[in-house]
Amino acid sequence: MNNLDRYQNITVLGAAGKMGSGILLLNVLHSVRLMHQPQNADKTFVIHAIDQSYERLEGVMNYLKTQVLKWAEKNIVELRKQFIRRSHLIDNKDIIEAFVNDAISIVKPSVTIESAYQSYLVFEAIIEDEAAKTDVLRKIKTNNPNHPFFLSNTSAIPISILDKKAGLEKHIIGCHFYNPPAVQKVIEVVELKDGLPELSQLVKDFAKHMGKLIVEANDIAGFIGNGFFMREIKYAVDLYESLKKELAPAEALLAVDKISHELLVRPMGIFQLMGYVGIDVCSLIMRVMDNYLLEPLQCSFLDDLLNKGFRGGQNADGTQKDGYFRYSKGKAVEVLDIDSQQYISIDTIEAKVNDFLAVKTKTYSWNQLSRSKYKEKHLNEYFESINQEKSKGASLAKDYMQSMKAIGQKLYEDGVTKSIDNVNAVMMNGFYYLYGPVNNFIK
Amino acid sequence: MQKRVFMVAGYNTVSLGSGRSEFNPKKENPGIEHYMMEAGRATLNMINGAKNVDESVVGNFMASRFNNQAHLAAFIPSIDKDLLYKPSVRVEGACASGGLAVVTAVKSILAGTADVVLAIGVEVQNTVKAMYGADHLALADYHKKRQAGHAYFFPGKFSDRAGAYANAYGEEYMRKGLAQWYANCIENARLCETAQEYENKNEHLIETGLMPPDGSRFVDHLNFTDCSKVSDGASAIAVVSEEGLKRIGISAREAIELVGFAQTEDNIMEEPGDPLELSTTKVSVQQAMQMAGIKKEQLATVETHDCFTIAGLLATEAFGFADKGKGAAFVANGHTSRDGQIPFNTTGGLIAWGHPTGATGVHQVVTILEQLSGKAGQAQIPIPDDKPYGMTVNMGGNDKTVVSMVFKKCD
Repeated sequence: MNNLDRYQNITVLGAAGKMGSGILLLNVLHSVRLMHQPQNADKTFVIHAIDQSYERLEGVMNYLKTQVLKWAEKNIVELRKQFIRRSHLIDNKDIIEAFVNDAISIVKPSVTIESAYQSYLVFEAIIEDEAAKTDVLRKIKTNNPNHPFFLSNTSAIPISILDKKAGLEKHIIGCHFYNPPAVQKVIEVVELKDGLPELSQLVKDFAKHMGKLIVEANDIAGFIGNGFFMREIKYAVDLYESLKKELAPAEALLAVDKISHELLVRPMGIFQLMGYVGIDVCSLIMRVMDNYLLEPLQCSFLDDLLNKGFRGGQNADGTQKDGYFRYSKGKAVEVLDIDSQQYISIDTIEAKVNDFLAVKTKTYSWNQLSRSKYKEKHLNEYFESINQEKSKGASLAKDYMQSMKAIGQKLYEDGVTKSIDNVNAVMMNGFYYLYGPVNNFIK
Repeated sequence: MQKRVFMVAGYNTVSLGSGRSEFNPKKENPGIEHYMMEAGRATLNMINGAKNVDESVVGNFMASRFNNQAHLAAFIPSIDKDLLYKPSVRVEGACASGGLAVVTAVKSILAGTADVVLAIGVEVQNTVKAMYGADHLALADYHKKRQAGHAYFFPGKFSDRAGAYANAYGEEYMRKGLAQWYANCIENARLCETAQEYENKNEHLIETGLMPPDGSRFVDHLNFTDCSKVSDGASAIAVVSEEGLKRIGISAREAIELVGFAQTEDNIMEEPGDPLELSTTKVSVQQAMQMAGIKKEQLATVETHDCFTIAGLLATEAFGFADKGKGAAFVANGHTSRDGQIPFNTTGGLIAWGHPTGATGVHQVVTILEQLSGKAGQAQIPIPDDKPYGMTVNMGGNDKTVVSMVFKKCD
């Protein structure tokens, strides 16, 4: 069976979730383009979108229509060439509508697992829970006569565990997408030792066709992305506790966020990032990773927050829920005082935090540098100046940078990846950092 | 001409679209009726009221698709109650619709059916995204060519011309000319408050203009900077006889006189015989200058239809300012800049003032009126006594409908 045969019947499990809907979209765009190739005119392509309820699936179908339409509009130059043989389609509008209709017609929404029993490829993006994943994968493996390949989006559970416990006979590969999957360039791929070469090749071909960058990670819980992120969270929480000796809780939280955001020239601070991902999701991943690693990762700080009702994450319309921050028009305007459980206006404490950090070096915004042709030069100059500075903020930023470098190096030393470059690649492409954490900016 | 014809009381609305800080594509923007009223009323105020108007003409290309609106002549009475029950007509010739509106008004004056005609050009295009707007604009060519055409149909057509030019004379050579044309346009637009690129702050215009095109995203031989703007706007002007001037109480010194014009048509079903030449434009320019009895050396300024920078280069050759294939050098050497041998498009042209398609032909005449009558404000160029003439060239489609007009400063 070749890859093309396998693409003709795909299942996405957890298709209405944050990651599942993105993986579904990627597959729809991939399959519809295969469908439009002249040599595939006689073939049928099907993608089963499986989730728990029709309400959730209706939402994902609307999301798909919007996203496929946007994709078609953006790629009309290429589409027009592809559609040249369909002579009844004249206007761009005709072509875009036909493309969207073709794409949506591939998708078969379903709430029953049986829909996956004819598929050749199964993308799994359900809850990060070993038992839940194992159960659903085993059912499909047992009932599907087509010996399907399983591509798991797990970001924390070792693939070998899923393989053994679900009895998948090495028909599984880790294929960890970043949010949102259609936009983020990187896919963290985790192959089993003695895994199937044809499965590995299929993922490579899929990534190439969709313009994705594959970064290989070894089968150690958390892999590169969460291996780094969860350890950074622990570092940030420790720093927050330490700064609380000198600052009020909300000020300490804002200070850590500013260091990791503005002083490290990142797109957002570490607490804002946790809120974006979801405090509940971060806590869950830590607990899952904890099951497989000797190093204790669980963080009572996050659990306490969850118990107090602060979860973060996003609303259905993409706006941020209350977490460490409260947002207005996409901008953080209030910060949480964890001790009193009250939000405090950032405007009222920002000056004090800035005075505390007292950084003199002119900072660049991430936005500004990400579009600059002279990014490298500016980063070098900036960190050179931070190196020279004696301020509290510069000192904390240097410590933070050194600790991130140590986390990255440890991932390599622990065998999570065969190359330091892979760590930097995941953090730069999956987290939009302008530079990898393992660098020589700080002397 | 059997009668003297004058242009007076010109007005341009802002050319609204990307580049203007007040433009927000996600919000509802003013509609076609808003622009007609603003421009029409401004001109009527300058000629002492609509009671003086005998007839009106409105030029518009594609309101039927951009705005789901046809029958624009019936909007004319909404401009002023004194236009009610007076003759009004809408004319269409793709992007030359504005020029046709002026010429139609001129013919009414010459025919003696009117002494004062209100000519308006209008277009509102920002109602749809660019890839759908390209569908609407493609109707300026033969519909049977659309299916095989580029997604961005007209950029594709003029990219083909640029490709032929690059192939014949060199890519780098051509690109220098295109970049300079772009830079001239932006610099001129910065001097005109109604221009779409008035607020442009780019300090590296030539560098921007020299960027190599990316055919995978757009067309093979042109950049976005080589294309005219997607614009909303209207322009209005009064076309009057000598009797008309007396009626509206304005002296000839505030007007300009039309001394020659040509309206030239090519077969839309055929591709240009020579992609390196704007053949219809060339004939049109020659006819208009012949009627005016002048030579190109007597022109103080030209407003030409630079829907794409390559059309600007080719226009310098169609006029005879540059020999065939030498237009890129003529432009790159600064001869078309505002202080050059023959200043072209002194308020930014279609590239930078904007291109509300149906309004463009009228806007060009308003610009010449402002320059020759010394009312161009910051954008004013010197008008030498031995060069009292200005000229407009308004082109529809791929050099298919062309309206050329020669104007003389009034003493």
